[in-house]
Amino acid sequence: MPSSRRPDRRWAALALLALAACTRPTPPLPTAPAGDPLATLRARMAGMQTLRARFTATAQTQAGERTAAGVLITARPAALRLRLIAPFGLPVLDYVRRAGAAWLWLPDPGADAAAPPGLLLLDRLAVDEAAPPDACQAFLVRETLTLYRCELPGGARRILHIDSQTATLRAAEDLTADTPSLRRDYDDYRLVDGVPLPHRIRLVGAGPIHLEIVVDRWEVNPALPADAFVPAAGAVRVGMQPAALDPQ
Amino acid sequence: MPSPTSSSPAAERARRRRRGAAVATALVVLAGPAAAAPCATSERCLRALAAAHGDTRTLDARFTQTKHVSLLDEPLVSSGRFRFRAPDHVRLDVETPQPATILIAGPAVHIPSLPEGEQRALAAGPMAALFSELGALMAGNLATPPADLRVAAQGSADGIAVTLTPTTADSRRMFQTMVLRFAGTPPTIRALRLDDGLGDHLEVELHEVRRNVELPDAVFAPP
Repeated sequence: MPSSRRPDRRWAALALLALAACTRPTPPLPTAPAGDPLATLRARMAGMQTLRARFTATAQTQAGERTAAGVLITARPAALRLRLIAPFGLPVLDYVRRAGAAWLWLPDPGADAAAPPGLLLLDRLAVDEAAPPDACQAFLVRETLTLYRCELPGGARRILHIDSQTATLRAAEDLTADTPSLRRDYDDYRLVDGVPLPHRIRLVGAGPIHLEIVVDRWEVNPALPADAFVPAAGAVRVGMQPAALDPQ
Repeated sequence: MPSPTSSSPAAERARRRRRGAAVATALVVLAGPAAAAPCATSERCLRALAAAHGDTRTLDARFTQTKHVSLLDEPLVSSGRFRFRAPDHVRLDVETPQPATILIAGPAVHIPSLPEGEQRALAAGPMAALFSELGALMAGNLATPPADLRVAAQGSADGIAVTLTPTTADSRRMFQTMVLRFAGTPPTIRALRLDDGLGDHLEVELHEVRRNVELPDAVFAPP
């Protein structure tokens, strides 16, 4: 009967309205000032003295999948700490980089320190992707995307994909003569204290590893503990690159 | 003539003393009898737990774990289910926010979805040793603790707290101390606190704890 079905439709409409109200679409990012998108991105990064990210990392290999919760903190100019925690609450890894040196702590002192390079690729998060020490040249400029080629020490090259409209890093790829390329995709940008930051990061091409990081929360310029970058007791000194993690 | 309500200073002091005594008595009555500690010495507490453990065939509990990380202002919270079957089978399921399972059968530790090579590395590491002891420890089997752990127990009105302290550097790397809290009759695991090698700590609250429920083999079998 039509009269008896009308209330159902009304409830359905109300439910849809309620759903629509609950679903908050990510607001569009503001348009960046005209000019070089990479310069705009670097200027924005320069305003962030410290950063903290709380995230979940999922590594997929042909043999299986691993998930860990993680914390990443950074401080200018080059201090970084990454701690991974297993779902059962025990620490998996603690990595500190500062002043040209890096330390790695693993729960098992006998473990091969080169074991978790996939996760250590987090070292290259958006924090310093766009600030390689050498000059970058734009080689493809489109209305929506600008590609830069950066020369890295040791002869490697980094290709940066930067959104021309919002001056946000969308992808970075390192190319070397003797290792497969490693691409990092930065996605799901949201404004955090007025700064666009990626909430989903994927690393593809690190051998058989595919790593996805979903950031629950970024904090811009948080106050960090005084010992934030002091290596843990028992940490071993390691190389700066994930491919060279043998204890020194 | 003295007023009917007035009295000598000595009589006034005596009345105050009586009033004070009455108030104190009332407070004691209101507070009820002080709960007694279930055991007076570490040895007696461990014996009480061992006696309770003798009757424990299985444990099934829900848990909420809160990880306090020094680098974060807010803790990481997750929840799941813990199941133990004597003598040495444990299944730990983290259900939220990220599902994960660990299966323990004696010295064998199995994490479904972990690559085979990492399973072998895990089985040889100190984390496996800790997990393989966990079920028995949580069931109260502390009469013969692992050789590299020092055990001390203390009774209080809240129950029995057992502190495990590693005696080797390798174990201390995993955790500095682990405190297990038992309560009820018989004393049953209620909470666990683990201070890890990085200075962070993990608090696990167990609830809906059930003893000696049926836990079939399939619960502890790898998928």
